[in-house]
Amino acid sequence: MPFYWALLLALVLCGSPASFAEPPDTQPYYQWGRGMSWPNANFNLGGYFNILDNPPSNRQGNQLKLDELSLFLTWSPHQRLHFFSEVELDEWLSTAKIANINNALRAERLYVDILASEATTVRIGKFLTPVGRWNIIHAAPLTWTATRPLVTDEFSFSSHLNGAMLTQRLQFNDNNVAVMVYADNSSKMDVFDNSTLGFDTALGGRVNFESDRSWQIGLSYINFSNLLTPKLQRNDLLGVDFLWKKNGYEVMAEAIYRHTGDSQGQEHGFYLQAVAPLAEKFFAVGRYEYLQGTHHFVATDDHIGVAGLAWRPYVPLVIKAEYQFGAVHDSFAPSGFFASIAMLF
Amino acid sequence: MAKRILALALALNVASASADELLVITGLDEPKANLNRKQLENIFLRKSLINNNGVGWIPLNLPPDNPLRVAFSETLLKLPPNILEAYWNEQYFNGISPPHVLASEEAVIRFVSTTPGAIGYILPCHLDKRVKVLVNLPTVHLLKNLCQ
Repeated sequence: MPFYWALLLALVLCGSPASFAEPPDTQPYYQWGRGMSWPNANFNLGGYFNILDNPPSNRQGNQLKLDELSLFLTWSPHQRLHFFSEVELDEWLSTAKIANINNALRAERLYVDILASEATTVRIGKFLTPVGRWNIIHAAPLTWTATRPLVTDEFSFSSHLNGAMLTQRLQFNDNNVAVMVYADNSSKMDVFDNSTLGFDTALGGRVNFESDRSWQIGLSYINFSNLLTPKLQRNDLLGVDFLWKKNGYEVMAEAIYRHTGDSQGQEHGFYLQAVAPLAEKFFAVGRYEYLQGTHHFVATDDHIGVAGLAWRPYVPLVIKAEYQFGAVHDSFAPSGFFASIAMLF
Repeated sequence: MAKRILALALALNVASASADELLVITGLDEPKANLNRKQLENIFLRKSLINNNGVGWIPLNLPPDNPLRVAFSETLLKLPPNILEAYWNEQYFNGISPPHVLASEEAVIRFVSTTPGAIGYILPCHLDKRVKVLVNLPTVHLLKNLCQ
């Protein structure tokens, strides 16, 4: 019942589709799903929230929680400079408890992009690790399910880097190729973050090929040590990912192989997710995952399935409902019913 | 005299034959740029944020239900405006806003003619001396009836 009250409240707060009215040229304006903009100052304030209803690992019934409340701040003081920050309240409010706000508050991202040329960008600061696809678009309003594939979670690789990244975009006929190389020194550079997971140091790269014909393929590699175990051997992780979209249909897949020589072990796995449009703005979603090896020091050999529906009545809003046929280890991927309301504002 | 009449006839013929195309325009002071289709696409998808001179690109759109906007989006970006909203959701997550939207071609011409880096699109029949053509973009959409 509380979930449905939350849904009703979100729909009331959303306003009507008329909120998409086009803005004046230079006056500050708000656009639903695109934030508040001050064009003369090249400044934008926005964000998103995610309300999640999920089965906790202690099997004591579902709990409703404000899973994420993120605030974006974008500022371009110069044509070649682009500042971005995301501050998040993570798992702060739930029907089970209200967490300490100091523990819930995190600087999720904080970086500056320096546009060295038309096709070359240098990024400095804290940003999402460019391994695979899910991690760089993991915000709840952008994904099709309330649950996250195991091969993309923070026990496989840290979701954030603290350091510098160089991106070069190349063009071959009608195709874009992006090449990224980066270096991380999180142990010395991490911005305000209460998470205990993360890199100690890391070095890696990614190549993404974007065809003109609706599909993309990417290759990622990262060599890293973890913050919690800096004295253990370094890990090597190799990833490959694929995305295809057309006429509302979508297929996305990622596979990883992580290896190290000590108790951290090795693991490999993949997921394959498909989306199909149903009636107006309703979509069917299905995902299969497999993970085998040592996942955060726990031996795993798990097959996971997710089947659900997503409703996108308006561009910034998505309502999801799914059942996860979970892993043997409940803490990684519990079985049960998940639902969420996610919205860009 | 005969040569002048022939030249005029050819010009009129070219003008009427080019009615089903869009003109991508910039200000008169903008440096000449030879942009291919992919480069133009990258500008309007905000993947390319500055030009080779370090000036920020300011791409402009018409309202999403404007036939010219639909034609431009389907011709250059191969998707209608409403389908591209999912792409702009992802860009918003990365701090990138979609192109500014102006209400009319006249508003586009005024903005482009006075703003460095601005780039927009209009019909050939609305072209005037305030702006210059960067790229001619042929389209399968029938747009002649929009010329008034």
